[in-house]
Amino acid sequence: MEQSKKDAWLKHMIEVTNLHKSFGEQHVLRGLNMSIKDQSVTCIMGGSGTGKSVFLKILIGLLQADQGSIVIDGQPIFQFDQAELKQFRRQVGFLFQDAALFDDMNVFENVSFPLYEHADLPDDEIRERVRTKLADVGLKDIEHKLPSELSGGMRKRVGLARALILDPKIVLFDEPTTGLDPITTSNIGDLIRDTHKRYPVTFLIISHDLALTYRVADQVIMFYQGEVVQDGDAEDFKQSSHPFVRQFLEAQANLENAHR
Amino acid sequence: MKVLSQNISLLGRLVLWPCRLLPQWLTAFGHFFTFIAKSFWISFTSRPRWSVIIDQMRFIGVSSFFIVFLTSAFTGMVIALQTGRAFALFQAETLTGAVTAISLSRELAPVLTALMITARAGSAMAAQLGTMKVTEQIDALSTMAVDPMGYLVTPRVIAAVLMMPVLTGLFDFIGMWGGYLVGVGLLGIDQATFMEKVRYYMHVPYIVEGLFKSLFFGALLSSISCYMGFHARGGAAGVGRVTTRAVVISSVSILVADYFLTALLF
Repeated sequence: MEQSKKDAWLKHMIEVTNLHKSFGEQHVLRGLNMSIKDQSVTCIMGGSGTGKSVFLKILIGLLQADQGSIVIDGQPIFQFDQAELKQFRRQVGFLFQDAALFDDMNVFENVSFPLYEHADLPDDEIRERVRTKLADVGLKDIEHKLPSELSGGMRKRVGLARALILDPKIVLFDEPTTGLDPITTSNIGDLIRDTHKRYPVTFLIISHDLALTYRVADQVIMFYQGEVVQDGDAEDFKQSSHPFVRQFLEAQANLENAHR
Repeated sequence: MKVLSQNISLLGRLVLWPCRLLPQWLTAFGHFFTFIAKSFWISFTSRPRWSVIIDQMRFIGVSSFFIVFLTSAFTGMVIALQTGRAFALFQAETLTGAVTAISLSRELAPVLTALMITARAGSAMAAQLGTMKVTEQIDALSTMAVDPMGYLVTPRVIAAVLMMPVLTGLFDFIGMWGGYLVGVGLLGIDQATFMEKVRYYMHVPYIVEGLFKSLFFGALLSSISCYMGFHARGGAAGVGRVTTRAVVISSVSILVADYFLTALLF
């Protein structure tokens, strides 16, 4: 038992090799290399404009890389044809920065949308699944509300329920705490941790929020100028000697001291 | 001497200006035609999304009835008024009905309907899709393995192509009533003569011509508006920009296409 658990732990879900991406003159990703373990929570940190979001969009096929490869669950994703890409995307949940809920649909229609598109299920079953997923992210009795009637934190929760509805193998989070107040931010941290306990799949979080990272991450990766400069657990990250990581940590410490 | 060199340099810049922009325009055209081709390809190859199409038909068509009613009534009335007065100068006012019928069915109904639908529905399409684009809802569709083109663009184009002839037909009908009202009611043209001239000069192919053009205009205005929405960037200001551009480019394209369609086909 212990051995098989360890094996699962060692299996790499996402492997990125020498990934490059430029926009015109701007060389955003300059040879990324990393591997992310199955069933782990990984946080990718970095300042604004260091290519974190670009990396996430390449991972899900919204942008094309110029060079390099990404292998997910043993499959090189850049070689997918349209049908394979669709199949792959069904196994990935994506929580957007502002949740990206469809604003002409209510909460139920939003969360059930992937099910109606991809799963051939009776209406009762769909209703039940939506109810369960919403309960899992701490929401109930809001199926008939429109996204415009929800708070930022609730929209994130609905977005997460939608990302989880097809039981994905990987869940991607784009800046889950940006634009939220400190209390909601802390709640989102708890939400991610609890959700991961309930659905122990690969979580990949892009953030520059240190508090969130320490709270949820098994692995912390730091981007700087389009390269990985730090890769390890949270303790390694705190001890890192890379100048940019030091600077990042000190800036955060100064910010906290200023608040005291 | 200085003036001469200034003028030559101005002339040079005037000549070079389109040359510099030409590659940009050609790229934009290329993107646009790929976009249209893709939306049509999807409409032929995948199962139509009837619920979305019907929703859009209601929005583009049924909700536009009133505005088409108003526009067509007054258009018919003003043509009858102007031609009635002008033709009276050489005692030909009995032809008022025929002129109204022909100009409405061949030109004014399809073109004015298309312009009104551009203003009403095209702007809404560009603004809605533009907002979806900048709030990442279009990306969200992609990540959920739903093709945004198939879900958002194709149903709108199909709905516009189906509803435009209906609205144009309505325009013909109401416009003709407006013309009748002014011609017979206001200008006092004899009702029987008015109708007889209409019957004599008006032919079914004129109506068909108008309806055919309206199909084309529907495809044009909806695909331009959707294309603009899909390429919005930069928040609310960006959405505003693409909405303006959608209305302006659609309107101009409709008028240009109208000339060439008329010249080539009819």
